[in-house]
Amino acid sequence: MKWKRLWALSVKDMKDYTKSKYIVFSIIVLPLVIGAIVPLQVMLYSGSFGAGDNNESSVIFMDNVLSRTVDDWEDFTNQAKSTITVGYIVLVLVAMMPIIITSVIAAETIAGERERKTMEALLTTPLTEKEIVTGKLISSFIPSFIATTVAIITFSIVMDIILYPLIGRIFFPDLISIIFLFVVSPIITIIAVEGLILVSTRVSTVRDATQLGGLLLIPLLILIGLQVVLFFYNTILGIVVGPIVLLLIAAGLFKISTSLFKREKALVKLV
Amino acid sequence: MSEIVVETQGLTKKYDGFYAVNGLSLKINESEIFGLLGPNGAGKTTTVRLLTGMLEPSSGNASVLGLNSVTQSNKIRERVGILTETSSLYQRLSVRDNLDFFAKVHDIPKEERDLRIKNLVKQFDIADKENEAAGKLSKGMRQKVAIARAIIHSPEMLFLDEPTGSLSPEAAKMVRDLIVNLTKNENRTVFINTHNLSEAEKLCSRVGILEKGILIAIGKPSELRSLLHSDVVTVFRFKKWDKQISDYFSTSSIKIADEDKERLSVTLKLENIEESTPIIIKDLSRLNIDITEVRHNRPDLEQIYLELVNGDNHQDEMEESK
Repeated sequence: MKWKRLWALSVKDMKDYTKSKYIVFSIIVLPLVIGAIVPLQVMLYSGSFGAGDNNESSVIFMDNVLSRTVDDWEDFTNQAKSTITVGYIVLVLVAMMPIIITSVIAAETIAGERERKTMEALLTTPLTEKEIVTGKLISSFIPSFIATTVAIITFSIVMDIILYPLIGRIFFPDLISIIFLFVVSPIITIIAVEGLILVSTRVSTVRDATQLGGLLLIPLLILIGLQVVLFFYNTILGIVVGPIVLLLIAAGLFKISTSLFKREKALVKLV
Repeated sequence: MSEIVVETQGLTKKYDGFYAVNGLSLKINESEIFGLLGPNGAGKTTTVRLLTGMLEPSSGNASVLGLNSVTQSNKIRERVGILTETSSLYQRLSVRDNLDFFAKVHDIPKEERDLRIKNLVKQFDIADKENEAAGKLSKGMRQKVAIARAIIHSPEMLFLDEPTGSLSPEAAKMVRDLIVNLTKNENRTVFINTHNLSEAEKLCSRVGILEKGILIAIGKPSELRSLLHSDVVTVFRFKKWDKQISDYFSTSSIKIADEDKERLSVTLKLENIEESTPIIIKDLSRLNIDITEVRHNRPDLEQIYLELVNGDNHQDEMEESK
């Protein structure tokens, strides 16, 4: 693979879709909504702002889970515990964000090229099929990763503003959210992009790719859920085994998407 | 002797029982402008795609610049320029960004890229549109950008699918001049798919006529004329129509192809043009018939093409009716 060439393709793609207001809006607004507005809303709903500890059973359940990962968990009040619990639920929502962003961008990449009839010109270049798929993967990954990072930073700031009066220290980002940001979220993003590229190679329009891509949400949510459960069941298992399994899935999907994307098939679909 | 740059043997592409290209065998020499003519669906675009390794043949083989079209297709695409049937530009990107991307994937260094883009936009007279989004350009302008994109890496050979189809007469002439310049001064070989027969006649050193995936004729336009049943015809035009004109030609042994009283002309098929023409002029002058024009019409490529393609269709119909 010639990295300069595929990087040229990624840069071209990023330049191209950032000229679309619809896509830019999704990349900017989603992290802000999920990172800031969702935690605030959930806090208000759960009654964390002075409504008292009205959810004893969930606190007891989370006691068992979070006492394993948070050292000073026992020192917190029930209100703090309940706020942190909701915070982790929002963190899972943040981890789901790359799926939403990539569903907008990755569908644009291959199906979009086909829809706008630029695919044939792309296929006339010396770029190999593998370089085309990798280039598209990078161009979809970068904005998703940036948006996820912005969302996690925003989330941490908002959560700490809420939590500081309750626990007297900065809580987020903790080990789990850092691992989510730098390990789980990027791999989930790659899997989501690969899945959507795979879908994009099989359909002719962006609309079809986005709609079919929506189905990918289910297995990806299951993966995120399993990763979260693993974290709280055993931190070491969550840090090491979970990401390795996710990486293997990403590698497998990469192999499938590069082997399925063939010039001839892409061209015949243009007819 | 010039080198063979394209060679195909029995090149065939079959889709579900339908032959898009069927047993194509041809050779194209260096610096040649080869035109592939044929009606819609004849297999012209498929031929270009097979030659540039974008499609794999069902059988047969092809080599371009000495490279195998299947096993070395990426190398072929590095060394050739391809203009697709539609301009296929990135509409949201500027003209410059479109050209820059294609230069980058051909590994052209930054300084050289800038220089080439600058020269090309100047050459194609689109320098004032360099920073404009390609989607905002007219159809003709977009075609110019697409051609500039195809030659940005100075390819050794060019494949042009309907290069002047959407251009104004001035822009089309500019493109034709550019194609001639590429072959004459820069030794490039050009393969053109075209519907424009007069363009093919003006540009191409050799043409091939493709019909239902089969190459039914190949050669220089002058060579293809010899394949025709119709040959050179001589047209006489008169100042006014006179009964004597009809009488003279009906009594002589001259073969009349057409008599057009409205246009005051007769079209003749003469056995020996050099000897017969002056005799007819003398005879008609003796009869006091004023001749305003005498010309010999050679069949143009359009006539050759139509006769070959229609003849082939006619033959098919005859076979089907049997």
